[in-house]
Amino acid sequence: MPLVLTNAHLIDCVHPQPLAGASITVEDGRIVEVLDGQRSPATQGAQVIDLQGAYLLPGLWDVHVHLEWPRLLDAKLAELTVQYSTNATHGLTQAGITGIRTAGVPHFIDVALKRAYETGRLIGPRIFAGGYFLTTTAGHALTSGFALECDGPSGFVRTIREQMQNGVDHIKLNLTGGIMGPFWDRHWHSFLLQEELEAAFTICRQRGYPVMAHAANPESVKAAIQLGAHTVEHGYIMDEDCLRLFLEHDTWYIPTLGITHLTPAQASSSWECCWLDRRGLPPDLARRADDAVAEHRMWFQRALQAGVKMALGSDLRPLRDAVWLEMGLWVKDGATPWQTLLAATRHAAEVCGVGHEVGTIEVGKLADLIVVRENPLDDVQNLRQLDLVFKAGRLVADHRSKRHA
Amino acid sequence: MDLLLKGCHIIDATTPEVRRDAYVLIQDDTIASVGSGALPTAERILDLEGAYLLPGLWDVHTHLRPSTWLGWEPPQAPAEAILQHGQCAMDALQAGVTALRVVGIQDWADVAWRHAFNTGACVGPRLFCCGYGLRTTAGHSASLSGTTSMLTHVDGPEAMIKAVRTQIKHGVDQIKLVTTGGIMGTGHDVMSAVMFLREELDAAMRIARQRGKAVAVHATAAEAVTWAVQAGAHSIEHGYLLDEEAVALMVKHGVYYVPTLALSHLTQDQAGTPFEHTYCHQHVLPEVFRERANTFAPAHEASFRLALEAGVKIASGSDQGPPQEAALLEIEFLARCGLGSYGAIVAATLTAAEVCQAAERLGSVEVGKLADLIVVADNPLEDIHHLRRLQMVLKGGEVVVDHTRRNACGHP
Repeated sequence: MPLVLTNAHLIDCVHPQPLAGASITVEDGRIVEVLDGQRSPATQGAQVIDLQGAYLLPGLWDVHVHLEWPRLLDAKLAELTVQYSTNATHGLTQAGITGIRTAGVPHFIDVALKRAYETGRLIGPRIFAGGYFLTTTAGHALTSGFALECDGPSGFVRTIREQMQNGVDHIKLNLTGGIMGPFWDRHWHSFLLQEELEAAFTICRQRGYPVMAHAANPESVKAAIQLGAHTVEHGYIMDEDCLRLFLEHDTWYIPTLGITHLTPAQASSSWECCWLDRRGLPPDLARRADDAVAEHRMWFQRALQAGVKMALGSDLRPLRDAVWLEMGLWVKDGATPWQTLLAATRHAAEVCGVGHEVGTIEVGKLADLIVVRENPLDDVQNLRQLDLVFKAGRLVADHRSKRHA
Repeated sequence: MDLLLKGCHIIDATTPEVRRDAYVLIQDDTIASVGSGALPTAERILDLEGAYLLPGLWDVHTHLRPSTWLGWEPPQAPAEAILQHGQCAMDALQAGVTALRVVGIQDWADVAWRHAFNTGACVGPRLFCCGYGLRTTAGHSASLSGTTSMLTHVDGPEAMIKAVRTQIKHGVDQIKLVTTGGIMGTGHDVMSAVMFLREELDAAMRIARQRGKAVAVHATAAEAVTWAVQAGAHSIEHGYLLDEEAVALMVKHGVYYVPTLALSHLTQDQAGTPFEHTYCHQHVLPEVFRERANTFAPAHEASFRLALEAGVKIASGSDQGPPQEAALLEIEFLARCGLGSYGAIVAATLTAAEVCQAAERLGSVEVGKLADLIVVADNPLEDIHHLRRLQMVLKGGEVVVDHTRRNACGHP
């Protein structure tokens, strides 16, 4: 049965102006018609939902996701699997996140979730799975449970092949330290030897797997881009050459602002404060974030001005809150709501290689959609007023009665 | 928030009499009153329009598997198997199965899902968990999968002590021992032998008793059943080859019997209803298991009747998958093989709750119990298959399934 959504303010993520009085028709999971207020859709034999002027837009995305929350001590495989499954489902149903790209998940739980969701019996977002996060001995995120320590060119090659065999979509490669780590894990340090880097990128290129490169200093960002990274994550410290290379190589930048911006000293909204209360960030890590934020913000703003391709990835947990928080930070740092929304929809889908299928509301695309009460282009936090979520035309969450009761 | 279900006929699982034109008042998650005549006030009222209201159904012998026994499993990553188990459980709730006892599963997946369902992170049935089933080396080979197994092999009393303690550490509710072979086995997996040493059995029971954990014992032949009952078993699973002595001992010790009739009866050759035909068509047993099932079915049924006549407490457990289909098939077998409709309903509700040591709050429609309820369109006492005409499922007072759309249910 066709699904017709009428009386919408349509934000299609192609045109920056919302289209009032719009309607769309969905058949077999795909958008078959988009009409402006001048024309009425055929509704005979269709399920019709009158959106009463609410805002209809593509589902949201997060292209830098870890699924754990809360962190379990000594967690067993089954506990992790169930927790990740629940968190991913809640991201979809409670925040309207219809697609994610994972950046480090143990035991290939992300691959398992992807397969389970593809059957349609369990409900969750589209998943682009990265499996484990690959670093070196004494590398980054070692206590996370999702990092694998690889050493030497053949160590990287073998581990990357094992990732492929286990069904990942991309390879998450760690080039540098990060903000959240022990004292020897510093984001200005590069961790890989040149021959390890080359071996890792070579096997990925040969097998056609995109590399999601965690790179936090100028040297590593440049190396990643030149070796063919698909996306560069974090980029806390960069230089003008980095920006030039991004543009030359048409490489994506995923800034993950939340890592340096969400500390008690910087929190500026009740949502951020509430999230920090639950996060329980240790003071030394908060200080590292506070020390790094000015430079990170500057390079984000410079990249935005220079026209570097960017998409929204949060690196925050839980998924349900992640996109709303990260979008707030983009706007706080000077991106427009429109730029921010594109980063979280159309551009994120492009990062995952499915820009032709999802990410905008256009005829022929899969109907991954959300409906929110107020205009998110006035205030991106209006995305929190979520009414409906559709994945491939299937209604997976309806919050209208709860919100209006 | 209270909810009044009115205009229903109640089969409460404590008496075979149907309480006609009655109501149930639910306050929060609990049944606050049951009656007929003048209605109490309530914030929400649902008119069930003459439908039948019963306790939610149980299956106390499941492995949360998606199909029958194949003897091999397609290669599957552990995380995928864990997700599939949760899916099986959630699907069962949709079919009116509000509680399951999981008697053997890999990676303590049952415990993890129990937590998710209890905290409300997702909506599923109540789970009572055994974690891994314990068998010996060269014991019953329930699954020949190379990567995952629902059974772990343990040899010697000391290893058994450690194994039982390990299950307890991971949060199980009961302990499952597999002391004999079974129908779904081959080669060394014979039905007659007791595979545990007596001292292994005693060692397991000692720890379980000390830590207050009931023990479910997979035992097929009479000797194994006798050993298990003497050692302190809480329930006997399967019992394909019982004798007078074993049955008398079960009665004397008040031990529960979970016959799992579906294991021997659910073959293409024996299928007697359209539901059984459909199941056997969709879930094909390998030839060797099918032959063994057909061979053992008459003795199994005779054992069941022997236990029934002696007054052994019988509970419904299917040992087949998926539970949303198998639970109902087992209830139908129990009814047909001698329990009748009412007896089968009690076996799948109140007695099942007793097996799970949860009858104080679950298993019947009585004041003070948790409101795990189903509503079916017609009287299942007249035809047990009417349990399939499911209209609604409530768990803890929440409407989780509503096929009649009397009430918007909270989950898509």
